[in-house]
Amino acid sequence: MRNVWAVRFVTRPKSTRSLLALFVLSTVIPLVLLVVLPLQMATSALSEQSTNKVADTSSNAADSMRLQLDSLKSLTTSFSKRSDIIAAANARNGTNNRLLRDAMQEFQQANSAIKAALLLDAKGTIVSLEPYSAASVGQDYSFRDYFTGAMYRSDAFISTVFVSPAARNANIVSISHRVTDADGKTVGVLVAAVDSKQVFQSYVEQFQAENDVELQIFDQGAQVVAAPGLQGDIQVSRDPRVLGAIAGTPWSGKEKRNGKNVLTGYSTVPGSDWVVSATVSQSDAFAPIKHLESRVVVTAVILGSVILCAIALLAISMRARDRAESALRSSESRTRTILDTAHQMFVEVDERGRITEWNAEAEQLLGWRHDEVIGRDVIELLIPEAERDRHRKAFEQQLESGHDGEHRQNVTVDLLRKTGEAVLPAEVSSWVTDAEGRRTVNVFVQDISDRLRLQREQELVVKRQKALVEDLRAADKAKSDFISTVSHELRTPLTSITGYLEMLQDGLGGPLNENQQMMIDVVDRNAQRLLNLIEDVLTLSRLESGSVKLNRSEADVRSMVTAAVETLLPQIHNSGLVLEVDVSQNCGSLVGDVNQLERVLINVLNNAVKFTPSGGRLSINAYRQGSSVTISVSDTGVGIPVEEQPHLFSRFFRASTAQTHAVQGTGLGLTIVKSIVERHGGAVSLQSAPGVGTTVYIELPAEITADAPV
Amino acid sequence: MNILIVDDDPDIRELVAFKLRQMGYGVRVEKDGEVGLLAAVNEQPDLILLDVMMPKISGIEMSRRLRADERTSHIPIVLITAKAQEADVERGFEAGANDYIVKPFSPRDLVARVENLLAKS
Repeated sequence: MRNVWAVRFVTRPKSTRSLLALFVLSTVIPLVLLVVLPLQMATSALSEQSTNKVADTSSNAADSMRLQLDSLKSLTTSFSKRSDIIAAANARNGTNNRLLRDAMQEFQQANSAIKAALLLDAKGTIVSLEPYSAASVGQDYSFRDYFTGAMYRSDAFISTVFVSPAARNANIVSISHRVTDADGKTVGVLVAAVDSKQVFQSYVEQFQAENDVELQIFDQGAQVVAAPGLQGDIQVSRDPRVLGAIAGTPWSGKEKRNGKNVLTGYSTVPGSDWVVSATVSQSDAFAPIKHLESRVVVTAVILGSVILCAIALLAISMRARDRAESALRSSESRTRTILDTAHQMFVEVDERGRITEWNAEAEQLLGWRHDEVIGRDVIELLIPEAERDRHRKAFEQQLESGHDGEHRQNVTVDLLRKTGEAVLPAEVSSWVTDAEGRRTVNVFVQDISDRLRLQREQELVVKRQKALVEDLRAADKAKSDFISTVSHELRTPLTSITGYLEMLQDGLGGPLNENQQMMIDVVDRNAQRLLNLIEDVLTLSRLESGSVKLNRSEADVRSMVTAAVETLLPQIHNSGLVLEVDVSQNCGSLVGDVNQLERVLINVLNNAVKFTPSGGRLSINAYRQGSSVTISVSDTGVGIPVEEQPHLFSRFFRASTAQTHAVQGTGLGLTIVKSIVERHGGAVSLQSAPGVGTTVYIELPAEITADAPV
Repeated sequence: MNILIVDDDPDIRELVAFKLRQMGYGVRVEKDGEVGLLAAVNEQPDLILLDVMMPKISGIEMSRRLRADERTSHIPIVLITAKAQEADVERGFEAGANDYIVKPFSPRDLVARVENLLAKS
């Protein structure tokens, strides 16, 4: 399972750069095609259209030219057939013929473009001319093409253009027609000299002004008859297209003229060998295309820029996302490692309750492998049937109300295992995360079976201990109550015994004889013993049951010692003992129950008195050492065998020496001493040797220091 | 001088009565609190000796009642108790007792206390 994850994290997606390049190509190429292809199509369509148009234009101009020429030709033809002209040509003497001159004048004036009218005879000699010039009559014009051209054809002839000195060096085109007599014999040629400028040049200029089309007119000799701005000498075109058109093959197409792209059409003027060319500049012809082109290009550029900007933005955001993803991947990888090495089960659940994550610990503790649980309903899988509804509700509630990151802490659940064995007690902590609108419930599960077992065991132990303590306490209380009750009950009968004994001894029952007196004394002594025993038992019982509280106050050591000594002073004197008391100056006070501590000193001193034979010595020493006060009571008494010393503080224990020396006692005195001293946080110890004496040490903590510190 | 003794134990009752009579006091004995209270009202003794541990009405309770009744509130009371603990003594004084004596006691001691109290009153 971990390998699968590893592969997932190591494999990187295709690099952003190549993706972007692909994207740029897939958007920009179609855009370029979208711009170029229609433009090319439009250009070629328009180019074709323009070419056709220029061809048409040249053709139309040629037609128009034909009409002009035709009208001149008709005029010349009709005058050539007039009888007076025929007669004059035939007569060859019409120079002075008034009628001829009138006819010639009429002819010349029939069209304003006719600058001069000539009549030649069959040999090419000028018969007449108008405007008239006597010098010209008789001159030989047979070399002129308009003479030769007309002589051998039946229709009118149009000459090439030439410069006529007679017409003040104007460019002239002559229209000529032969003159025949009634027999059909050629008698001469009638010629109309037409001002080229007036007819052709003006047409060309007008056409250019009106249509913005350059026309050029060529004669059959490829000489330029008319062209915009034509001046000076007549030029001959060597353009093969002109020559081709003269030969009858029109042409149209693109060419370069004066460094400019132009469209030109060449057409033959019908009924003549002239050629008309029409030229338009390509920029003019393609103006609409250029307009379209510029619009398309601007649009395309804008569109392209927008796309590039978008791509740039995309690139930036992709890069940022790449970085974020890479950071996320490394964070995921870290998280993954943490989750898989954690000693807690981790389960991630989607909004529908389906498991999306399952760590190694979960695999181990619950038995299902990662690939077995992914996509399964977490509640169906893990929660025992009886609990499912409750957990489903809680899950939905958490999903609805749980804010991002809010925890649901330490919910205890029992989880089903794959093996179907006993459920796994667990503690669940879960929180909702909300990433990109996808809500996820993250669950940490802690196996608490060990903890529960330990807890149960501990509870059991504590319960047993409690029961034991309770039993002991009850038994102790019962014992204390019993002792207390018994002690009290014993007091009342003892009151009658000791009371009447006292009255007997006081003689209230009458005088006593010696024997009666002795018996009464024994009864009285033993009644006192019994009373002491009862007192000691009662005191010990109270101390041990804790029913007596320490009445703590400042207890002055010297005062307590003095009080104890005063209590026992009569017995000390009666026993013939010597007492030395040495209370150190620095003893000061300690905190304790004064009455009880005095009782301790009395008990110990009483023992010393009882067990020391007459003439013995007693000493009391009290001193402070560090934070404790030690009071020792020594005697030169009978002493206690070493083997018996450990039992001295046990209840009712009496040393063998006590019995040997018939010393009375209850065996409870030192037990009471020990109990009181220990309740004060102190300790009692003892040194003794039989026949030498005994020293009892009472060590008490001094909570309050006085006088001088040591 | 008349002294009222209230005690459920006949031997103690008689011991105390014997000693006081010997000392010349007029003595009346009663065996429990109920009759004791009646006697106190009717006889108007100069002092009352009360045993603390009695059935029906304890000595403590009886002291309280005696002090609450204006006919008996002036009579000195001595409690006889088997308990020498401070708490019991305190309760006795709170209830109105003037003195107490702990069993077992010396009859001489008892007489001394009685005389002492009567001298004061």
